[in-house]
Amino acid sequence: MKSWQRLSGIVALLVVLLGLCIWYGSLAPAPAVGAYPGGSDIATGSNQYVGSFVSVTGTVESTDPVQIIIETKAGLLRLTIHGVSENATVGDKLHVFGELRGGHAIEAENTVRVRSSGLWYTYAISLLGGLVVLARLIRDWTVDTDNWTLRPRNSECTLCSLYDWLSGFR
Amino acid sequence: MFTLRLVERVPMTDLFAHVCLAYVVGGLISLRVDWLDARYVTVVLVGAVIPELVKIELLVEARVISNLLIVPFSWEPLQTLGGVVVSLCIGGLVVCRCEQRRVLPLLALGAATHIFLDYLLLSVSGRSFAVFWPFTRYHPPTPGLYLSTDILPTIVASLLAMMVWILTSHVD
Repeated sequence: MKSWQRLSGIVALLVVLLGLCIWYGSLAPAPAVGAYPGGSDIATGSNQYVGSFVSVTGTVESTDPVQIIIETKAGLLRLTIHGVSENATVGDKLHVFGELRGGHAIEAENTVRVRSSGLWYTYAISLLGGLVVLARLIRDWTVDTDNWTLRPRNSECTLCSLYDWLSGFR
Repeated sequence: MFTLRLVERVPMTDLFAHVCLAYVVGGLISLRVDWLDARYVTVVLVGAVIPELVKIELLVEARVISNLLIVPFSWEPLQTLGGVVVSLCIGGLVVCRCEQRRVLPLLALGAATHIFLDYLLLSVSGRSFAVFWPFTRYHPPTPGLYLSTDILPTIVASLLAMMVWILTSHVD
């Protein structure tokens, strides 16, 4: 496979990936399959989802009553949450599943609180995981500058050489 | 545009736990498959990182892309079956031809371990993500074993990885 063919293939696949992202973004909520309306749906759907079950995640802004701020496609949205089972404190991340009431309020059926320190831990340990993989990739694989591909270190691409040799006869 | 925000939009197990589990699976298989040495275990680890690309949302919000392209947009397909398969194919094109038959299944194996761990995550609605999209949009019920911020899965995965490392070093 020549470099331009490989590059064309990668670009084509990236276009497919972009298409999937646009397609998914255009999907409306479908509670029947578990795709519940989220913050952006509530913000842009006026009162369309009042009486429906919604699933949102936001930052706790106040605790009496519990109010959370959600970043949505239409900007920031403030929601009042009733029936919170957790001892939420300001700054925590709160996951809420419940019925949307009028006046931007949710009657919570289930809530999960995540401390902000927990999120920093997740980011830090994830970064470590990414660095481990990157280090191993650099240690074990190398760029073959003849055809701009990756190949294992200390290996000879005899098959690739054969393919290239044969393709020369086409 | 490029701001790291303290937001958990897409619940996922931390990447270190994913990498450890992929190492466990890759390491154990390497005990039975002669050609699968450390270089190919690394490929399994890379596969486990692929669905994590969805976290690009933390750097570039979907709504920014949406405003740029003037179309709806979501990064979530990157962690669904369809997005992962396309990403795997890109990975397959990056390696030289003689390695594709080895690399593609190993990347897929790593990605599968990632999706499996994410499926176990606690979800407030009791439903996981659209794992098999675009084939079906069904969000399977999740067993809800842990939160993405829990440290226990990472400890367990790290210990297992350490055991496999000792085991494979001993065999070598």
